[in-house]
Amino acid sequence: MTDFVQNCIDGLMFGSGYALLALGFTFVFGVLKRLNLSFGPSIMLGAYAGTWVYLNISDNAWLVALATVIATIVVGIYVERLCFRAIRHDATIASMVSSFAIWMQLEEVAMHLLPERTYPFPAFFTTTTIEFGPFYARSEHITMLLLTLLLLVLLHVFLFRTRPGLALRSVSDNPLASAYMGINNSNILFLAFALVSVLGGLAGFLILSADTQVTPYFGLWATFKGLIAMMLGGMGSLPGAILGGLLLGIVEANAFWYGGPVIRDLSAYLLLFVMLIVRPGGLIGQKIVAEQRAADERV
Amino acid sequence: MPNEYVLTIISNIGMISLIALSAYLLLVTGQISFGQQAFFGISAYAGAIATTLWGWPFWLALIFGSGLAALIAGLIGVLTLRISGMYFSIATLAFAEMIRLLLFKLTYQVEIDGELVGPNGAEGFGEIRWIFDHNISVLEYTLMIYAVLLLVLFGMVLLERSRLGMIFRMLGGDVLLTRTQGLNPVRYKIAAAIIAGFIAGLGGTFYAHSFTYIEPQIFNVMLGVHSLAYGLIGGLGTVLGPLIGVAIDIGFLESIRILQGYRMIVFGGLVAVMLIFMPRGILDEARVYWIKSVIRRWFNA
Amino acid sequence: MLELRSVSKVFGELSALHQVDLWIPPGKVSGLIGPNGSGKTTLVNIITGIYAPDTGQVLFNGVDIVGSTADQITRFGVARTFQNIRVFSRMTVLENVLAALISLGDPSWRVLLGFTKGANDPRLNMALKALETVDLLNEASVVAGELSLPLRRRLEIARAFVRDPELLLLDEPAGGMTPTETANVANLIRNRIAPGRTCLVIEHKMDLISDVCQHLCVLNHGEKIAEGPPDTVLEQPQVIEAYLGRD
Repeated sequence: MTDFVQNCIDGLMFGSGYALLALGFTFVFGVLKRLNLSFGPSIMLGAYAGTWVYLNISDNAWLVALATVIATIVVGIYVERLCFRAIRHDATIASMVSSFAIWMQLEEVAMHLLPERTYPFPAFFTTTTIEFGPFYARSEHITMLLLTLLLLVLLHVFLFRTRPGLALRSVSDNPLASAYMGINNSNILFLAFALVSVLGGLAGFLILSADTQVTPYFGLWATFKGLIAMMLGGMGSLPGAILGGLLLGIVEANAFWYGGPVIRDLSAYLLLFVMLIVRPGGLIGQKIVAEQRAADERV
Repeated sequence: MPNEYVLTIISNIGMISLIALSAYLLLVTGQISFGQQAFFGISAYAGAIATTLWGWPFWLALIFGSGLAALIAGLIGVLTLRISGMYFSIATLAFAEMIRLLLFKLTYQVEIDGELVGPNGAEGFGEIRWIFDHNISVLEYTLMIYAVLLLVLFGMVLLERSRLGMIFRMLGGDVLLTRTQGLNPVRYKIAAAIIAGFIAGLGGTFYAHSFTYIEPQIFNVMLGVHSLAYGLIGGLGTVLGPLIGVAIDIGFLESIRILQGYRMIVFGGLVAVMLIFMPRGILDEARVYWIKSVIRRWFNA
Repeated sequence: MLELRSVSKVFGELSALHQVDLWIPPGKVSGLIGPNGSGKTTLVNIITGIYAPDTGQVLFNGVDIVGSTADQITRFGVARTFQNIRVFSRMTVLENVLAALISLGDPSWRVLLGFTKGANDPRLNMALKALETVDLLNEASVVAGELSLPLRRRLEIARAFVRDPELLLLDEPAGGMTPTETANVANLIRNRIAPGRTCLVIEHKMDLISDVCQHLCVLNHGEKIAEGPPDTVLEQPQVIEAYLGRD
């Protein structure tokens, strides 16, 4: 029983990393109604830029973080131009497939830029173990959890209390009407992607610095984890992303403990599969699915 | 006698064409599957187990592997009936990854001639030597692959002209409209899933025996996206479409030395560009109609 | 033929239909009219099984079809066109009409695996005749997506009546058309489609309605406000008010 609870605690900690990634995915979906499957590799390239800075310029963690975020933004803009802006507004599936294809491209680019298998990443946090009762948690994970919640609050404030946030929300709701009201959709698209890239870059930086290394599998890993967490919580829902990430973390931690790494990943996909079949709207609910269905069937 | 290197490329084109046709069939019915590689893999393992561990003849193993893949594909088709669009695509992705991970756990070894043979999780499944044990040359094996591929193509051309094929295209156009024409999509979606799974399975068993070694990592997301991409690039208007896509990738890109190591960059970029300018590929439906009318006029002249 | 009893439908907070009773007489062209937003399309969607009403019954030849799926209802003998035109845009005109005939006679797998354009197939002749009736025979090989709006509407009409349905629902068949085009549609309906068939035309254009309809139902804000022969209905004050607003 102690094991189970400890696993859950570990799960919550890891889960916050997933939640951060999921925030990025869900934000793009919420605003643009499309899925960006290049999100993970964009972050990975950002992380590679950070690692390059770390190895060649300075080992100041803040600088590395900045480099990571900026590089992620740059790659994000590339993906946005090619896979989203250039494609007709209602061809949402085409954007998804296009971003998947670009994922392949980015992976190969990464392989060329940094051919070694693993690169070091600076540790942002000091590692201390906090104990309470028979349980323990690592301080960097707690920090990540708190930072995730903080980011969620900031995002919420941005979306609901600022002018650009309002513009974003109106475009996601009704792009045509927004255009008539003078909101420049292209700028909004750009803003959304930039914001998401910042989130992603930060997420990548935090996760990797807790791990102190970056491997070429990070892109794939980040995309899958973020995607699963988002879908578990409910596409397009910000609190859903957090819940989904935490749920995924808990399930994975326990699966790993009782079954090993393969069982852990298997459980994640199984959970996603079952959720999609039984309740595609995720934890948050069916409203998104119902809306989409209604839109498809508008007669 | 063409050299072995060229023959290998040609046989690869044949095998990959099968999984490309599998993804294409589902694309035509309006479903984007990121997971056909799962059926390719299931059949690869099942077929290889049949010949290597159970001593079955190849053709029987081929039917067995593909049949098993088709069965599971049908099951997935049933499970995913109520979801469509992005949800469907992600579900197929999740399923395919589950299969890949399950293959990591698959250990089934039998002692043959003093050696342990069979799938062994992450270490893969080697010594799939049926072709070599039966003295089949590379040329003969390539011909076998193409014989099956031609049969499949013939079948799909017939399908294209049949009412079932029209129903598939209707589903790909407008599911609601299909319903109001008096057709219940359920049977047809499942039929499409089963046929597509079978075709992917054919490719898989051939693949296992051609390469003599398979491991779970081969049947990954990249293979899945590639199979989709072939149809998207070559065109969704005709079965020749995915074949053209495969030829462009394996026949052309893979063969150009300069592009070694950059193939995915070019290919990925090509897909993205196609989706912007020609979202239904080079040979899309409109172009195919046009070509057919030109041919008809030419024959009548 | 078709009778609606106390049909209500609510979408979230919007009451689209409220306790609507309707009677469509057989063999005539009936019209369902009302200002935009009065619930006409909702009613049509309920009749054709796109969604079910919250309460009430829809009796087709005496049988309640509420809960039947859209495909079942089509096979019962109800055909429709769509307000915002739905065609299979990547298929040709002829193929669009053939598509409607596939489910005729509840096809077995043997039929499904047969060719769509077999020379001796009676369906092919039916499709060609339907195209001839709407003057689209020359466009048979044109890809539907390339057709102009009026031609696309004609295609929808051909596709709808080729099955010789018992009830033919035309949802805004003159939507988006010029007065000349509207008159053409009216002629088409009056002369070639309507004879010997039960039709329900949903429109908010008066010229088409008065031209072709022998029976009218008027909806406003989800409620039926009048029903009967056109000349009587169109003179009723609440109908005039619904369209022109209160002075």
